[in-house]
Amino acid sequence: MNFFKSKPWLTGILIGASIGLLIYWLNRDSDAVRQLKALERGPRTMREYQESEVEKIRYEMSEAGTKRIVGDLTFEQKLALLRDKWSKHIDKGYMQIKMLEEVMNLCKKERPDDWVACTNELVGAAFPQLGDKLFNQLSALVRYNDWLSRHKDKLDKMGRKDRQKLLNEMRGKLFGEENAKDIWANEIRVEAVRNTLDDMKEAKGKDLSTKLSALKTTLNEVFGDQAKAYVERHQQELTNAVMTAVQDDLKALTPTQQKHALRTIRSEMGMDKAALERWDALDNERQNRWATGKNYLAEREKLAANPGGNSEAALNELRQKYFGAEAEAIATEEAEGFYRYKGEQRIGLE
Amino acid sequence: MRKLSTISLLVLALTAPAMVSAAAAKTTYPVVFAHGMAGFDDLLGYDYWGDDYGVFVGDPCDALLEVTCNGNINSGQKAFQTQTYPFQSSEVRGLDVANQVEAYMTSQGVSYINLVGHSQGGLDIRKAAKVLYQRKGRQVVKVLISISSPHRGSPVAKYILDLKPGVTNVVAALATIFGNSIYRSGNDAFAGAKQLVYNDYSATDGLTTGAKAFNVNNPVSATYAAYYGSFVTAQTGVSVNPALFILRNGFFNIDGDGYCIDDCDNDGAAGKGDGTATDLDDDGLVGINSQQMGYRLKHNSCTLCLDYITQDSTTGNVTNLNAPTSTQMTSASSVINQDHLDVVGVPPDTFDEMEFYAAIFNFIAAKD
Repeated sequence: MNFFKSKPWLTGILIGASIGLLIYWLNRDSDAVRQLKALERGPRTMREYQESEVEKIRYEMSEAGTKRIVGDLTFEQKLALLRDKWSKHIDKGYMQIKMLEEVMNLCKKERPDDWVACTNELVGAAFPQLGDKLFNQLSALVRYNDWLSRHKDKLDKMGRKDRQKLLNEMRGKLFGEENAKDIWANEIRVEAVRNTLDDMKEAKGKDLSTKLSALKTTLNEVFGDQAKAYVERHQQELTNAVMTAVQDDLKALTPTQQKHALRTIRSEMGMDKAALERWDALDNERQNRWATGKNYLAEREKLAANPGGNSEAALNELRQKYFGAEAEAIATEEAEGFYRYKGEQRIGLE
Repeated sequence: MRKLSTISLLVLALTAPAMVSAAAAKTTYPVVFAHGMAGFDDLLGYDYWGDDYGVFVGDPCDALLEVTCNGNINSGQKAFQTQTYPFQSSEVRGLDVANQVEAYMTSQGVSYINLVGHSQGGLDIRKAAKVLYQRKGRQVVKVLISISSPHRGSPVAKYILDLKPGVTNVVAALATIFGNSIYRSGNDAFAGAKQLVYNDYSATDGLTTGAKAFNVNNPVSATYAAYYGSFVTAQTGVSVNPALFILRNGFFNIDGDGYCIDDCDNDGAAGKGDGTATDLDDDGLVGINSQQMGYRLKHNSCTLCLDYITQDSTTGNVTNLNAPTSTQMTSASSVINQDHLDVVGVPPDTFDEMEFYAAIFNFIAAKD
């Protein structure tokens, strides 16, 4: 102790060195970034191969009935498979990234200490006309994943909108604004739809048709000529989301108005006449279920007020009377503290 | 001659690689995906059933020049994602899933459905299958598949409820793992956590909770679904997602590959450990001895071609969820080396969600 007291400069050097080491340790490059920097420093040579050897692949049937390749793949065979799978849309940023991910996974298994160079070799040889572009995408992806890992804790603690803003900033910085928009195109579109649904929920006083019109405008804006296909594909998810967003509006309507509103929403979501008729039947069935459930709860309450009314036998008899085959399921839910019909029915949803 | 033709059928010398990257077969009936605790679009801010770029694994490429879709599945494939209460018991969530499946079937005009659930979603779909059976008076579900599901409980759920080291608040701990959606109305963090403890968590609250009772009420049964299968996941500590902080920060590591009847070591899950917690015996939230339901399924990765799923022939069929055999609880056979969150769209990871779920579509197509 006295030694350090007599030499304060040495103590300062030691503390400074420790802090320096800690900063270095926290900011050191990940293995992936180290590999990438090595590749950036040296010349990126193209691996030589015989184009005539490409496509000589043997297949066998898997247990699942799909074809799989016999034996290990040569470099040329990998090129053939990559070209076959990805060439159709390889000019699109999203497809380039998806291909890079697939090749990265392959290279991490085959050359774990050198997978960045391995990835670059394969994609560069498969699509030589895009060599530089694919290398830039690989470089940005490696750095983005590294940043994501380092900032995961911080991102997880952020609210949705703040997190999205930070992610978009970093994506733009690493991939370039337009390229990032191309890669995360679907996420950006879905986020816009989500925001419109949030607005629909918040908008008090606006009628249903105005709200539905706003949603259609957003869908057309973000999906363009693919809007119809998107709505068809996510018809139920969108219908449920709209029902949730306008739930307060629906509850304020008379039963006849409600029925009309439900038909309007479903029709706007692309349901045909046959589907609307099936829905009319289900809406009636659900109303009956809830009416039965409410009658049961009322009688259950009356029963509980009588001496011995809360006995299991009496409750079982009551549940049997109202629910028949479902009585046992209702009993197990109640044992857990869940009463299926206790709350208010969510219109169009249950 | 017959032998020769069998061989020629099995081994094909082809020069057109397009054959191998063909899309998965279309399922006869649509596939519904049910998310786990928290979930859907707010699982730590990422799309649950999507890749790391927000593309749903069940979106087929059915429009001209479309690229943000799953090119590995059939262009006519039908799929739907449920969105239920993020934090609730599976009695509540399962009923809600059943309502949504009923709605989807009505919109589509289909008579049968296939269900895939991740984590707690695997329990929810068992409840949903039963509710649908009771409403229709017949079996409605063809194939029911769970992924990383705590069918026999999770020690992490009990660890959190017990407020063990690193946990000062149940809600905050669940929010750290799964995201802030827990703070929205309609959630019951305690009901959600108690669902994932094997035994009834409290003898004094007047309620019957836990996976054991749930399994009795919502069993594996041919009455409710024609086929039951499950994927088992596990990963060692260093690789797990930072969100799985209890393991990541060294507070607690599940020892989840030992056998005993019920929860003999009172850790919150059926079975016990084998004395080594650091091996490949859990995925950060669930031990491997909790995950098998029905047949164990194997994910076969295929280099630059479509992955495929097979039924594991070594572990048999778990028909009584509360009484699996020693092999079914301890075998590492077909365990997918990924953590609890890798198999859904939480980045960054090296898991190819598009291929994995395409392989599941293909497997279901052969069964439904």
